[in-house]
Amino acid sequence: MPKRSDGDYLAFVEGRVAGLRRAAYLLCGDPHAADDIVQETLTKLYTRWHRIGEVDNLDAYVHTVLVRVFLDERRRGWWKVALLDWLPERAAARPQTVPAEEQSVVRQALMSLPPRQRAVVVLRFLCDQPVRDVAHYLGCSEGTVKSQTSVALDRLRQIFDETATVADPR
Amino acid sequence: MTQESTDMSEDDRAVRILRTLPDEPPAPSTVDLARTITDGKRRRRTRQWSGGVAVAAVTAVAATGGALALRETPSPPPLIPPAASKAPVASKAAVPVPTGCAVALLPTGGIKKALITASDPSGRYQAGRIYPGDDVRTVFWKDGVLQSTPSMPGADASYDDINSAGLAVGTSFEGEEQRAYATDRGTVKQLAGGRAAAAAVNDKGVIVGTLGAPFFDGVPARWASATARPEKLPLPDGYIGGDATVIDEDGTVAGRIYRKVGRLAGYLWRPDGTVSLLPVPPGNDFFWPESISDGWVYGRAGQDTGVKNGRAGSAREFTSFKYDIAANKYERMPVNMGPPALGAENGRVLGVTEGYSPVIVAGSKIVDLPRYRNLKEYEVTGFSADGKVAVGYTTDTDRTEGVVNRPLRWTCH
Repeated sequence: MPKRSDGDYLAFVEGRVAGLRRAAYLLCGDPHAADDIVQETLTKLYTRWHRIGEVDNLDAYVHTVLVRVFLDERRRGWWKVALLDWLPERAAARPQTVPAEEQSVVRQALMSLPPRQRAVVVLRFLCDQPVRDVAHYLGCSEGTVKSQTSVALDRLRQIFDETATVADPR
Repeated sequence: MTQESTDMSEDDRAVRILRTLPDEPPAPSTVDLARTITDGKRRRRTRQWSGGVAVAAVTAVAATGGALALRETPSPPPLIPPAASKAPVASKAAVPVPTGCAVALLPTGGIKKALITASDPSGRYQAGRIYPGDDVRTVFWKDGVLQSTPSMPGADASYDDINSAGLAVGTSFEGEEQRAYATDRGTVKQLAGGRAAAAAVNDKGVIVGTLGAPFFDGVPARWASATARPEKLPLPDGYIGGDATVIDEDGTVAGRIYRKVGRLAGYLWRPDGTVSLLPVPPGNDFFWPESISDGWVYGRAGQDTGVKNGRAGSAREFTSFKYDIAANKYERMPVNMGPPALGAENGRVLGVTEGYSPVIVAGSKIVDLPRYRNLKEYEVTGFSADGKVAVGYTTDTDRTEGVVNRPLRWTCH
């Protein structure tokens, strides 16, 4: 098994920091906490780096660590201070454009989900991960991912229905 | 494109709205790659040192059956040599192979979407949820008849276990916090303890679960009855939290506990007050209990970052095992089962295969349970003590309905 070097590590992570920050930010809703999650995820990755060997799905591994760090870190309490009313300063990279106040409502709705449901929704629909991979990251069955998705979307629909300002971008 | 990306949820209005969210953090990155290396190196040194201690502790467990590792088990049973776990031995004398299994849809009062989340040891009581319109409520069935009972308060309510007297326990959310509930003959009561989750109840009415939040922000707990104050279950040195997840009829409790760093570990609280870490089947990194019945713990062992033929497998691979508490011995199941693997007193085990088909394992035999109509994906959630009544629900995806949940009960001889 070839040993992985520090150079390999840097080459691997440098191209991924931006994506990991986006995923962490969607999960926790706080840009500073998101960076903490990524910092911890990459530290964990480095700690194991030389023993990982030829992992052909390193990205899946890193996502798994990221999601677990997100769920684990809850006990430190920072999720309680997530900036629920934060208004984004940058335009969305996505094609639809929605007024900032609606985005705040949308983020608040996402943050109102229990963390595991939030993780399922973020990973499936905002990070475009297949159900099988999401189940893997969370250490649960695909059925559980689907049922958590269903419950989470039900709740989001209800919130969006009650919030008249949120328009369907379709 | 993956199959699930074409399912109904993809085209969901809520998903479309969610996707308008900007995903770029609004501040420059503070992630420090150099620091991940220096911190990682420091942790690696610490881990190597403590890893050496862990190896010594495991050796001590193998030699003495846990006395050195915990010093809390007075007469530890011997561990089997690792090789024995590779060859399953039918230590339950002739587990009866189920025959004549039939599936039936439980009544839902005309509501299509419904599921069963728990069943009792007699097979007479089930608990679950129905989804009338945009609403959701918890429900019970007795002898296959939908009962008229109040729903559990709170959001995401779920009954996770029910005993032969019909006492059901479960959990719902009040905002971000969970609350534990018990329902006895139609009366819903919040368990004492505030922020808590109730996971299991035995026929004596003893309830176990978590004080705080399950998974990573609570401690294992037991309520002597639905009206009792909770008591925290003891944790070994260095462990800071965990969840009690299952309870046997004799009061033995199993669960998962954790340290500040590291994986969740399986743990056992015996009715005589002795406790022990569940050993890990050879070649694995952990074992997590999923059910307990008549002195056996059923669950999954997992291995992280496995490497096969020079190529890595997935980041976490699971293998199903059952653990004989008295003999301190694991047996590998003849098939890997998605969680949970539910054991019965006669040694039958209910689960789903990696293809989501429901099966009952009897010794080395794997018996497929009949499908409901043409539905393919199942979750199992309850198994009677005699191994003759199994319950669960379907989770197929469908363009018009989303996730197709149907509450099902299988009966076998």
